[in-house]
Amino acid sequence: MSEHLIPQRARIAEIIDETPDVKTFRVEFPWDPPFDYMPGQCAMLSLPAVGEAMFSITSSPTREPMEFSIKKIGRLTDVLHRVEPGQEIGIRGPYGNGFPVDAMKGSDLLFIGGGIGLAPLRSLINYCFDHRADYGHGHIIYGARSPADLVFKEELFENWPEVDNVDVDVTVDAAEGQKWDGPVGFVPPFLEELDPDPAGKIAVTCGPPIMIKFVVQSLEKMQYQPENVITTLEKRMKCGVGKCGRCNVGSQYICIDGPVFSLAELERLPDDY
Amino acid sequence: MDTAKVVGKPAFASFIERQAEEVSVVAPVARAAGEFSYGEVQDASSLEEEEYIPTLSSPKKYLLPPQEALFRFSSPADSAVHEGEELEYTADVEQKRRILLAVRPCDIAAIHRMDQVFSDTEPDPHYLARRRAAIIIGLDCLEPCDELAFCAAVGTSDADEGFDLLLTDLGEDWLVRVGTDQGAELLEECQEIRDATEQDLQRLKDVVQAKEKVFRKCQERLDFPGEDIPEVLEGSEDSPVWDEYGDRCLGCGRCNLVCPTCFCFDVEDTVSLDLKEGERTRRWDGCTLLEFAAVAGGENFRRERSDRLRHMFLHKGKYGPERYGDLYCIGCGRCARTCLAGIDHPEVYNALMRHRDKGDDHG
Repeated sequence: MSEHLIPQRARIAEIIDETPDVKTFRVEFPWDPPFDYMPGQCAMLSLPAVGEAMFSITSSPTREPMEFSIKKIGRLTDVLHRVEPGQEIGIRGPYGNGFPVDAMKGSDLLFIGGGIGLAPLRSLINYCFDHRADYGHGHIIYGARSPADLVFKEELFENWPEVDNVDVDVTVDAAEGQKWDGPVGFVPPFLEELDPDPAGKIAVTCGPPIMIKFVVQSLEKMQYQPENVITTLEKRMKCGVGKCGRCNVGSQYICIDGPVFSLAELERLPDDY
Repeated sequence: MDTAKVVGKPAFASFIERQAEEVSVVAPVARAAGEFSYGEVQDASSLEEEEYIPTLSSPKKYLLPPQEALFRFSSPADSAVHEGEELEYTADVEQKRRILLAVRPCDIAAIHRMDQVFSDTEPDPHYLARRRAAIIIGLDCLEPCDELAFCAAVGTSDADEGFDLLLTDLGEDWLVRVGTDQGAELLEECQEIRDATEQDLQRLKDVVQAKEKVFRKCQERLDFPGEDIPEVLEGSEDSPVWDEYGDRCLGCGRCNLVCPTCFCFDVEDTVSLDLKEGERTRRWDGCTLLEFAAVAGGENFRRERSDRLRHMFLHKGKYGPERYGDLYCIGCGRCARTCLAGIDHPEVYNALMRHRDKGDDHG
């Protein structure tokens, strides 16, 4: 880990446009070797003179290179969206607990993503698919504001549906003026309509806080047990090592104890997340 | 008990003066009328202040400065890194020897809590370097500093540990309790000092016993034992008390600014005018400020002042104890002394207790 919160030097090798405001950054490590990580873990990315922020790692540790899918939403991400391949960046990590990939072994998996929330899920999805024998049926339910806002289109429509024993269902909030012949509607009702059976299943959901809130309500309605519903929390983080206090919820620090929590764990926390 | 020595006040004063020639000595210094703040001193006159109330802010600033560079970097990324030009990160850790003089028991307790936070998980090199270079000479309080302090209610009116030396006023003399080897070593440079006799220890015992009575009112500021604070806060999330005090709170962050156990910080990059180098800087932050729990994209997890005030109280009284084992409110009363809305912590705790007893809190 990095002393004094000094990042490791790394370089952006390639930039992929996902949507009008999401890009995937492939990171290479020409100087020191990259750190190991697990799905759901995060890293602090920085541009000297601009700033630093925490991002979930979008790639699976089973695949190279390390990738981050980042939505243009603030000061640092705005600059990141303007850099060119070859740009040096600072990186430190991994931070956070990651998804309980061992405890999930043997279960059927339900992934529910919204918008850029598919970024951390993608790491987990590809990890599970690369250890296909360890996990049961896979069901990906994903939604975005519009067809143009769908991230990882190649994986959603070509790669993942080809994986053995996997279903992929994609919806959009609205398709006005765009080419789209798939389902239209918000993720929570779409989920309830598909009604995946909770037996032997673990549900993992990531997305905007408002979507998570309603997805969780839907899952509860569908009789999913709180221990079998997993999500990630978002907070601004300044240090990543449980000091700056920004990501403090209850006695937990999202950067160390999270960002992955089961619904059962969240029920024991105050509701300011 | 730790070893104890006795030294005449003039001899101890000259000892401090000699120390001040070699290392930085900081102590409470009278500023405006009735206000004190920690500053560099050359002598021991701070030990003789009679009208003392706690310093505006605590000695925390010498361990966690309001602003400090975590590291410096060359070649900011805006200009990209050119061929043959290497981006460099360098960190300097300050290790200036410093005596913190006349630190009161509440602040000694606060430093212990800061030590817990900055030693936990990934230890913080900046804080710990300063901490290791610091010598704490405490000064026992023989009476509460004013009516806003409630140290005796949260168990911080006496110091049993966390100091290198602790002074107790015995009139003509100081009784010096030695808490660490570092303290013992330092004391070797003090002249005219002798071991405490049975009689001295009896005098100390009498003084400490007298404290109990003198601090009774301070202790009674809380309607229940201080160790029950986490329990009183348990399930208080939806208590109407937060709305009541949240309405009064201005969200100005002054309480965070003066709190000796507030450790949260913000991090920002600053760049030199020629854009060739810069620093990643951290500075104190405050959980009662509006932006504290805001995230990119406009979501704010504690938008209401009542949410933020509640978070501060719960952090001091519940989350801190859960995570580190100690109450993170040390009863110094600084927040109430500085609060423009007159929000006083024991008053809030007592109100929560009353509401809980009435059973109108369904949190």
